[in-house]
Amino acid sequence: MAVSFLPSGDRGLTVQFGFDIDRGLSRQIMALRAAVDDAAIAGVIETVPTYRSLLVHYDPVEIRQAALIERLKPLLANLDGDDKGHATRWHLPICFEGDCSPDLDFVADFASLSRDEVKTVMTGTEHFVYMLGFAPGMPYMGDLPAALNIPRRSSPVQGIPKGSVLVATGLTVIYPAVNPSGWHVVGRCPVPLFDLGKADPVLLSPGDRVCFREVSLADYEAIAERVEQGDPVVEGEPI
Amino acid sequence: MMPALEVIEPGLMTTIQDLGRFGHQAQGVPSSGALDAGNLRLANALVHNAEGLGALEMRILGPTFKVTAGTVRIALTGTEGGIEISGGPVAFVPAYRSVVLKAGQSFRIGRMSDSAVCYLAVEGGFDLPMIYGSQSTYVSGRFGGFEGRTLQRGDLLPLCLEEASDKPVALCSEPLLYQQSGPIRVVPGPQDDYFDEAALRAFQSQVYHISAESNRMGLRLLGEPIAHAKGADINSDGIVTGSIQVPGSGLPIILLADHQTTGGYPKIATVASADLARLGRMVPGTPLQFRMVSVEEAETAAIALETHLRSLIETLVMPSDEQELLDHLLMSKSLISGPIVD
Repeated sequence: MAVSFLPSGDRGLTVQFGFDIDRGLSRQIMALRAAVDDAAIAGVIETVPTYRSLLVHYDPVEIRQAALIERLKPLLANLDGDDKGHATRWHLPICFEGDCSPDLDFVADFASLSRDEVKTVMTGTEHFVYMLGFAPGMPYMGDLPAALNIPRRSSPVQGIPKGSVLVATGLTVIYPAVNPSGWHVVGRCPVPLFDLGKADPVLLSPGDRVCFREVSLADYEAIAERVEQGDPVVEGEPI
Repeated sequence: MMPALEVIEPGLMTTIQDLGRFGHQAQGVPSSGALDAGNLRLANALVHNAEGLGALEMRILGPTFKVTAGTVRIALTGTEGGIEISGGPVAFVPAYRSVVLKAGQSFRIGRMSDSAVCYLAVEGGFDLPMIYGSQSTYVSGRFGGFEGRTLQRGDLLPLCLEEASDKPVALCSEPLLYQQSGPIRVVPGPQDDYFDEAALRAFQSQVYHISAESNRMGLRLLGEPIAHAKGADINSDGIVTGSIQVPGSGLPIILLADHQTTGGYPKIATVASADLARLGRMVPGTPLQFRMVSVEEAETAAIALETHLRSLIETLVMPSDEQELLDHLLMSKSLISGPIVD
């Protein structure tokens, strides 16, 4: 495995696997992350996987970067690319009705598909969580078919509601909180991805899979009501 | 009545911070935490706390508080100023020394002349919820600290202790010394290869200034734009505190404690962690230059700073009586910038 060790200062080491958004690369990155977790290297604080790399946060008082690289090399040599036991599959409700999907027609037009066909793509795809970022709990998920490889808007729209499911550039995100976005809103999910009422507020982790199932507006509201009352609503299944 | 500090004046930007929120950056949760972690640790040590407890981080113009009940031990660090006290026998206590105040007394941290941030710790800490093991306030995420925001007039900050302990007053014989001048040390990468030699030279040779549009997320720099050799966008990778990203404008942004966990701009270099507090302490308009160092040099600087801080904390002076305290204060005149009444 040809990787580059790129310093992110004296408290971070970026292990770069490539440049592109690619499931093969991501499998390797997740496998290294799991191996680093299992190795419990003294001085490693946490790791952050992204499309292209694994960032290893470390404490230079406990381990120097040169020594850390030597600890990582044997792990890299033995990656099996198997993330069993390190990821969860989630079945999340999605509503396409009413004001949940203001950009669904635009997306359908762009892709030369009908609204129903776009809905079928969203519910028929197993969305892979490449990474989280931008806001606490926000997943970047892939991969949508080429037809849905839509560019972002040139300027962002303010106040995109919490729970919005958005697509652009072949990827899908779900907004854990109200934020601006240049992506296109195709649906809304009533299950919170970041809930400060819980001891563990973030729902998703890198490597997880998300499958959407369509619900009516009435069902969406019923689920939102249960969420309001503290019902966890969904349970993940280990992969 | 619940023991608390009542906010009489909130100051410019006062938040609860500790050493940060770690372990969930992979889930997009920023670390946050004190911009000047060394002085936060020192403030906690001065009030006999564990070093990483949540304390007040104050920016540029400090707040005024009133003690609502019982007694509370407080200490200020990170500035040469001090605590102005009303309603008691002592009118002023310099920074780097703890003092116990009673219900009804109020105290004020004025305008800071020597730093953008300073810290005030209370013995026992604040009785506020932990999120992922930290009380740090993440203002843009609206969580952590006191209701996820900067303090406002009328807030009541609940204290863990009803009364200060009977432990002695503590003093620090010298302030925490960060490297006082000279360029900010940076380690090249992880995307220094997105810039050609001319851009790397311009980055290291020019004098930048800190823009007024800077905050706890990052310091925006003003200067001559530098050009990208391979474009200004990358597929996102992870960010550390001190990452220096260069967006399309060509003007660097140094990411600080509230930075997002990942980002899509090339990062030309990363600030040596030993110099992060220097940056956190800089007010808008401050000039700064960069100097490239190796990872090993930056690590050695980090270890030296940690050793210095440990020795300061381990040699805190705890005078056994009033006379010894007075003698000590008279001997270390450099720390006294106001009248001592006791």
